[in-house]
Amino acid sequence: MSRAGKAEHPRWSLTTIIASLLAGPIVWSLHFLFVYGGHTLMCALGWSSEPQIIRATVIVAGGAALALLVFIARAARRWRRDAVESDGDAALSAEFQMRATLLLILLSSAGVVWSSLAAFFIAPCQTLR
Amino acid sequence: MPERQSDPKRLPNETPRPPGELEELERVWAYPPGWRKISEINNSLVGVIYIGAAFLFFLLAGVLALIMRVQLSHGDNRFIGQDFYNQIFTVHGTTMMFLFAVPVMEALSVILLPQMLAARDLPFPRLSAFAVWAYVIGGLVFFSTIFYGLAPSGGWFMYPPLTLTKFSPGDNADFWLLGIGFIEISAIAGAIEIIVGLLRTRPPGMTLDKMPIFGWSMLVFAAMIVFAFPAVILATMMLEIERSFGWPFFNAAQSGDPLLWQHLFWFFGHPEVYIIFLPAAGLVSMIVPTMAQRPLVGYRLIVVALIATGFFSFGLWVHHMFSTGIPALSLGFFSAASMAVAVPSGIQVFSWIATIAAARDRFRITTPSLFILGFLFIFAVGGLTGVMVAVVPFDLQAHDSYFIVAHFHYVLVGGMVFPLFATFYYWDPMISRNRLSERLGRYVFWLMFIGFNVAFFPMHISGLLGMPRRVWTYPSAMGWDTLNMTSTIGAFILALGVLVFVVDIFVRFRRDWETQRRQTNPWNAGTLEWLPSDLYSMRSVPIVTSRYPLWDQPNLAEDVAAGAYYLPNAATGRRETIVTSPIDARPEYLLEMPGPGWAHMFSAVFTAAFFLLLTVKAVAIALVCGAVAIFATLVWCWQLDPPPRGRVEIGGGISLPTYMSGPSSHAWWAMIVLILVAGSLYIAFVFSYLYLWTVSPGVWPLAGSSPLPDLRWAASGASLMLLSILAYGMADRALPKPGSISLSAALLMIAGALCLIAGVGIEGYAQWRSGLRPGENSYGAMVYLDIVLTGQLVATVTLMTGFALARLVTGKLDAQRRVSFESAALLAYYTAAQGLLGFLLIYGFPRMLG
Repeated sequence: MSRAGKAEHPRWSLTTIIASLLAGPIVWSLHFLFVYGGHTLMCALGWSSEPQIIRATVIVAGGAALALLVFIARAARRWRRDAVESDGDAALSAEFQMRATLLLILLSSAGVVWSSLAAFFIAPCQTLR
Repeated sequence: MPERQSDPKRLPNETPRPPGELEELERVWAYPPGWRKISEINNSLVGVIYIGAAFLFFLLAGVLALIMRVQLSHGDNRFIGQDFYNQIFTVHGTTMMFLFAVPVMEALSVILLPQMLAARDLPFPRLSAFAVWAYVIGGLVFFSTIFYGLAPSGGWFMYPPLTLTKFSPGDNADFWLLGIGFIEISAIAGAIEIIVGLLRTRPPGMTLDKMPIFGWSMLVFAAMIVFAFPAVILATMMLEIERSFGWPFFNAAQSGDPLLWQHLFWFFGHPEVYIIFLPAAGLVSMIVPTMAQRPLVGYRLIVVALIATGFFSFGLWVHHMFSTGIPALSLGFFSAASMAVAVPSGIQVFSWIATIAAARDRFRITTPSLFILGFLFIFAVGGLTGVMVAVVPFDLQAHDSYFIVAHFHYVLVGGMVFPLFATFYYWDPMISRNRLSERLGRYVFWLMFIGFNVAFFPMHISGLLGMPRRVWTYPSAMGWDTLNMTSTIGAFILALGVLVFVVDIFVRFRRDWETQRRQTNPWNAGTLEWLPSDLYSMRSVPIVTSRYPLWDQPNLAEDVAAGAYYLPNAATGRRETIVTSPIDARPEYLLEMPGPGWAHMFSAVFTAAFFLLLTVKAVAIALVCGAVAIFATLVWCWQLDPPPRGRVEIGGGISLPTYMSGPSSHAWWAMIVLILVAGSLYIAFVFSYLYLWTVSPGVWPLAGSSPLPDLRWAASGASLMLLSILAYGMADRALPKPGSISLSAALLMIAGALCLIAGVGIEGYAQWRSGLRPGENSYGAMVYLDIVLTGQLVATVTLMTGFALARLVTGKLDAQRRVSFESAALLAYYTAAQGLLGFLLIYGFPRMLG
């Protein structure tokens, strides 16, 4: 973003706010859908004889989601710095939104890590009965 | 946009205000006299009816619970029979979840939000009124089935195959589906009202980070309804279609799968728990700061917690299905999400405790505070047992036992009923002339708190001893008698507490229906709902500069009441409210609001009659009622979209337009929310299609025997969908200048609608011609369900287009006054997009598999 852009930037559009606030939880839900759906699909397609591939897929997906979350968090911090340079109520709002965004990313990361941990302990495709 | 921004430190208007201004405001907002009050649509009155109806359902379902407890008080009891018991627990659960918990939160929001936002009213009061009447009629009919043995008996989640026609013949299960249909309508109407209200009718200055926490919790609540309810709407549609016409979605013998129902139901059902809990948490976050006389600790953390809970709760649906044979690794993912959701809930609990601990002077122990402390204790126990059942091996032991009954009552009663009673005591002075008794309130609390724990704590133990849910009796030899007798005694103590509350309501609750006089701020709270108000809400709409304006802005109440802020009058001579921008709440335009009327009520009554009569198979008269309902809705809609009245002054030198179309208008926002609902429903359909394929790939085309029409059919259908988008887009540009009529716009609208009809028609014809029948197998059922889903949207678009045409011909639709066309066009674009996606799925997916 250009310097001139920053000076007039403080008004956030609703889409920007929703996108930034929900970025973390959306990555979490996409990751969740991918590992749940992917695991079910791979088992349905008869990959149960290759558990290591399924396990690796889940772990790599977790890593990718975490990397994406870190990337978004860094971007969010950068936006916050830009916004805080502008003054007034808008800066306060931007500060609020970006801190909330970062906290949500943190919570989402915990969700991703917990889901991924399951792959270390539980064998793919097996049912409990 | 306003012509100039005001300085927030200067009051916008001179006082005293000119004579006659207040009288005019009172005249405009007055309720109709006498019995005609029921035609009123103001949320301040409709909300009271709404909350009264919801509380009535709470009492009725509570009586059913007592009957169950009497039956279970000792082993081998023959107080009531098995079938009646099954009906009672089904109606108890269904009523509590669908007719009490969700509606009561929506009722509270339509009463509280306009006051908290200092708006004259929320943007769609007539839609609220319609939803309330549909809910009251539908709910009462549903509940009354218990009196003539017609009530459903499959449990509140109505699992097939038990609920398929073979095992549940008769109309009982259909009445469940009917009752749920009404709550689906009213929930979605409520969600639209709440989302648009919160984002567009906040007072000037109330940026999103100054919005009361209850506002945030209702925003998340409404968004969750938009994404969760469509799953259960689709599921109920599928079950009713299977029961009525034999399309095999859930019948395993015909390649369906009963587990699909569980997936869809719990994709709704689990978020539902949070849909109930989050508003209650929002209420607690409002009451605690008042009782502590200091701002909430961690406002931002709570906002984060609300959003995170909203999301994570969708990742929990399978934790109701741990014992269904899903692969263990998948269960691991859901177990992880179940633990993750405990974190944001914990954040909220710690915020409340911190606020209580940091109270100025001392945390005031009043009846609302007692209920909140009780809530903290009970909800924490429920949350902890929730973490226990999130552990798969433990869940396999406790599944379908009384441990689960104890767990979810601790969560629901602790997490929702106790905050609700705190709410009744806390906000009662806002709508009643007298306050409820603090002395009796303490009796109510202790009876309810002790009764609840005596009733439900032993159930943890009886569950661990092996007592299953939903048994109508048990042999005394099992050794469960003492625990059950204790639970029964507790249940009656709890009921006694509720009875004392009801008596207090009868003795003290007095609402002044002519003017809304009330006590002003008896708790010394900091938020806007405690400003002086009347039927028109606040005399003038304040500029808000903090989260607790009444604490931080001196003289606010006096200045608002004196009319020193915006819109101290009825500027257009009609009911109106200020619409502000969604983020920083700058005044954008004046929304002219509807007044009392009967059309919405006829619409509600005849919609209810239509579905009821269909349920009992009185088809001819049902169709007549359906036609009347549609006619009444058209009459109602005809009064919408009033002509622009130029700009009006709202004070402080700001003049606002009185008409808005396009993306800034409230109508556009409502339509977008509705489209999100339709989109979620279609995603649930795509999930179901793919799910059934994983279950029965053998009946899918190419792999199995089912035929797939030639691609040319799909190409022509898709082209028609694209053409309709083009036609509506061109009609938009061809709308005439005010005062004239455009033939080309009319023809383009007709062409657009016809293209949509032909697009769906072609698909239906192609599938039928290929020999595929919906009753044949789950593949056929899904293909025709796609046509039904898009077809119903096409029917709606056609109706809306016909309506817009009538407006065009009568000179009520032009390039400026264009909202009725815009709404039809928006839905048409979405319908075409869904149709295109449908072609891609139905024709593409089987070919992709090869």
